[in-house]
Amino acid sequence: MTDPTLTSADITRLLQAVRRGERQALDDLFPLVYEELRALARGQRSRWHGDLTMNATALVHEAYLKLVDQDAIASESRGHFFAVAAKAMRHILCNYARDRQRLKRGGGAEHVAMADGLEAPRVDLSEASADELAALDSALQRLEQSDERQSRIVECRFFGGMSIDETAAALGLSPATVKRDWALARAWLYREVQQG
Amino acid sequence: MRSGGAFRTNHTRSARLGALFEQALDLPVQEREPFVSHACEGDAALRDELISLLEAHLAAGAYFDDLSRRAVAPALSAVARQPDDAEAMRAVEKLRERLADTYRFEQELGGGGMSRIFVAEDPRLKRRVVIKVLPPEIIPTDAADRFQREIELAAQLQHPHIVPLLSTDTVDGTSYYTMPFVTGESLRDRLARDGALPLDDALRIWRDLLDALAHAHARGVVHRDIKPGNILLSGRHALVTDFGIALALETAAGGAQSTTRGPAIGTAAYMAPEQAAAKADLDQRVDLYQAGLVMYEMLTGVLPFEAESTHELLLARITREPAPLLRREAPDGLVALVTRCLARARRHRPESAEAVLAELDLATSPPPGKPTFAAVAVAGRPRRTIARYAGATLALVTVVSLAMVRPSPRSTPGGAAGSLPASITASGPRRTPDIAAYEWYRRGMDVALLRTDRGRREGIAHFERAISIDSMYAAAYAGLSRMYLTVWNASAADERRTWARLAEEAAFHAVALDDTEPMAHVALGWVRLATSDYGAAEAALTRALDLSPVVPRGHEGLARVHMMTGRRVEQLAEARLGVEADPFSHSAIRELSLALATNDRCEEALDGLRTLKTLTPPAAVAGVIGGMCYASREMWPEAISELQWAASQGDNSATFAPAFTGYSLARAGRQDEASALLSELLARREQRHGSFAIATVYTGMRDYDEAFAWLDRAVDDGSLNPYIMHPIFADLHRDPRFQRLKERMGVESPR
Repeated sequence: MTDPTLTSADITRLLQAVRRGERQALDDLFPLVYEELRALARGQRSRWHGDLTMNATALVHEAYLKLVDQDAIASESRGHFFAVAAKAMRHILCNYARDRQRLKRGGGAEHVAMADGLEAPRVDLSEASADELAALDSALQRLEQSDERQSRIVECRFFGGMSIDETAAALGLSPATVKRDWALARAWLYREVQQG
Repeated sequence: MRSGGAFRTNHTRSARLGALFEQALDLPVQEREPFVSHACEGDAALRDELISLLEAHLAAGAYFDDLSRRAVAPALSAVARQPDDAEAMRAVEKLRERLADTYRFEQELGGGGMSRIFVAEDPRLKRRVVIKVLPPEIIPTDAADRFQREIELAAQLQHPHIVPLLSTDTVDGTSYYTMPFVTGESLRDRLARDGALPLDDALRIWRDLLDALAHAHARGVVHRDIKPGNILLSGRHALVTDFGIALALETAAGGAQSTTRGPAIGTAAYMAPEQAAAKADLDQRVDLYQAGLVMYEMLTGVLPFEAESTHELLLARITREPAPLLRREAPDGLVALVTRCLARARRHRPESAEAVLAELDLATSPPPGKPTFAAVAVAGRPRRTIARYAGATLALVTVVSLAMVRPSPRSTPGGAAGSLPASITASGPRRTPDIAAYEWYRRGMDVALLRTDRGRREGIAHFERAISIDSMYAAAYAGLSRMYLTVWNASAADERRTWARLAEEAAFHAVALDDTEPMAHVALGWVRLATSDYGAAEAALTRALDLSPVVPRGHEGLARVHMMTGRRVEQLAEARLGVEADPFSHSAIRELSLALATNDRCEEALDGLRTLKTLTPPAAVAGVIGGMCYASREMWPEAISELQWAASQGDNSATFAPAFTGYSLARAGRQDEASALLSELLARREQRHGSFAIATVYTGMRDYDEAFAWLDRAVDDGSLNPYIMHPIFADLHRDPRFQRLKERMGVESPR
């Protein structure tokens, strides 16, 4: 893993660039935030026992506190970070879900690494849930094609756990728009996923 | 950042769709279709689309909420748990290269879990060795020395039943150790294949194990990870491997007094209760407990505890007695001995492996006709009694097992629940024949007032001592339950369930031991309040007050129930009765202040709270309630000051002070500070305050959507608190969603 202070400086710098209007900076941010979130999640695994589940919202907030130098950025950059983090969270989780699907379909024994000391945790992603997440991801990709704004909102609300106001701030929209689009997107996605 | 217009979207159509959708949602369900049909006249496609979406919308909300819980959270946990395979592989490969001169790697053995196990040949001595490689992350880089030192201690052991350690080293952060390769299978393999073993085999293996333990303990080495996987069967002998590794790992991970929360090292299924409870001062009796488990499994083929999850298993280990050992031809003395090794409290176990061996000899070869100590100490009756009660409630079985663990002439297991030995006639908390037990009980009660971490720990210890002197002491169990609840109150959100369970178990004990003890019912009532079972709480507290109208905390408890069920007037009346019964009781004064505050009589409430602040140490909760009083009067500077005072007291029973501070900051217009506080609460949700705190701040910010969402979660994670009924949440009370919340909280139909 890279030096954490370096990553934090990079992220802060990129956020400032985003604020100046540099579109590319957003894309650059993504892989950094993706890695950091994953590392953060793994770093937290020792903190809990079998039946506690982790919380995506808390993780995103923790990442923000850890990675962003809050003195160096404007308050609107907070929203940008959260939007990118929400997107990263979506990809982390949906990628995992697809991996699970692939493993199962590959047949044969799955490599489940069981810790010597820790029993195989009973709380895991069930096959059905993995399928659901993958289906949601596919539907979300389709939504992205026809209405990108709605797909971003879904990322923020569902994967990032952001509030209406936070989502609005992150994406430069009005809260009313977010509220409406969120309802619409959910309805559309639900219909897609049920039909699929 | 892109503005709304910069997103890729089909503008015209979707704008119309969106607008109509939004308008339709504002209408009652039955009016939506007519509205849409009318508005989309001429555009059948649009109409169909809208109607389809509106229908989907009805189910979508709940679906996504559920999906979040069902899939997002577990997926994240799963991601977190993924071992970094690539990294581990690289480390092992590097190690193999380094060791290539010394050892010729032959093959890898499976079943090692986190460690990788290889069989190799030592070409110089022409013998085979086992090399166990530990994963890099398990020993922090700066701890390799500590690990080595601990291993060296274990390496001193020389005994026919202990597999010796040959060497150990750390290369580039990867640690490994070697030992001779022992031909034969492990006990785990044998058990997997055959199930329960023949009695002779089991006895032989157990003797070897105990012999090894006795040797190691005499040299100050504790194994801590005794389990069938670590016992190798070679010919007619058993050998124990991995001696000292567990301790070495733990020492390396965080020092011998490691405060890693929960059991970090050790197989959950074979953990001793004190390991499961993560106590710092483990001693050789851990090994004895584990040896007991091994023997139990050899005799019956199963382990004495069953549970759904690791967490449940650990909890069971701490709070319950094992399922009785049933094996037909096993001598009574042997069964009793193994059961004693499995005693939950280590003081009830045999002192040493030597002692166990001695008793084992007696138990398994008594001269005919001569009663042995073991056989006399535990007559056959308790086992039959257990069998008789096998289907009964947990409390009964526990009581009976207690009697078995410390047999005493006056205990009558058959009549456990409800009836008391005739010698006990005193009333109330003195209902114990033993003055020493009462002393400890009194100390526990005194220390309970201190409201500090240390006070809580001491309180628990005092009550446990009282119980160890008199295992039938119902009031002491009630006191213990109360102590557990104070810990629960001060705990981080993710630990609360454990403490609530412990409190519940203790309260059950108390009631089972003596149904006429009012303190037992009070304890149960408060437990039920903690678990939001208001009907049962009311029942228990009412019974307690029937038995004794002045029982401490009885009226206070009922006042709380009334608070939760919205009966403010009754709440105040009960609280007054509490103060009448004992004008100097802290909890009575606190409850009265809370009742006054809930009834919006702030000045009177603040008066009472001032009294609580004069105590030593001052009761921080007074600051919380005081802050809420000022907040309901919109006196923000005063509110914030009170709350910050409460938070500064270092008494973490004022857990909610930050939450109300956030609320006050938001209402006072200090948005940035409120947001910052919210961020912190969100990041530390599980460790500290739980969802209720977050909902509180959102309420302050007037984001009621979020507030209700988090309150829903608070019901789930158990952080919802009676404060929700306080007038500062009046905005929420007026909202129709509050009704549904009350139903979910179970306060709508309390009976």
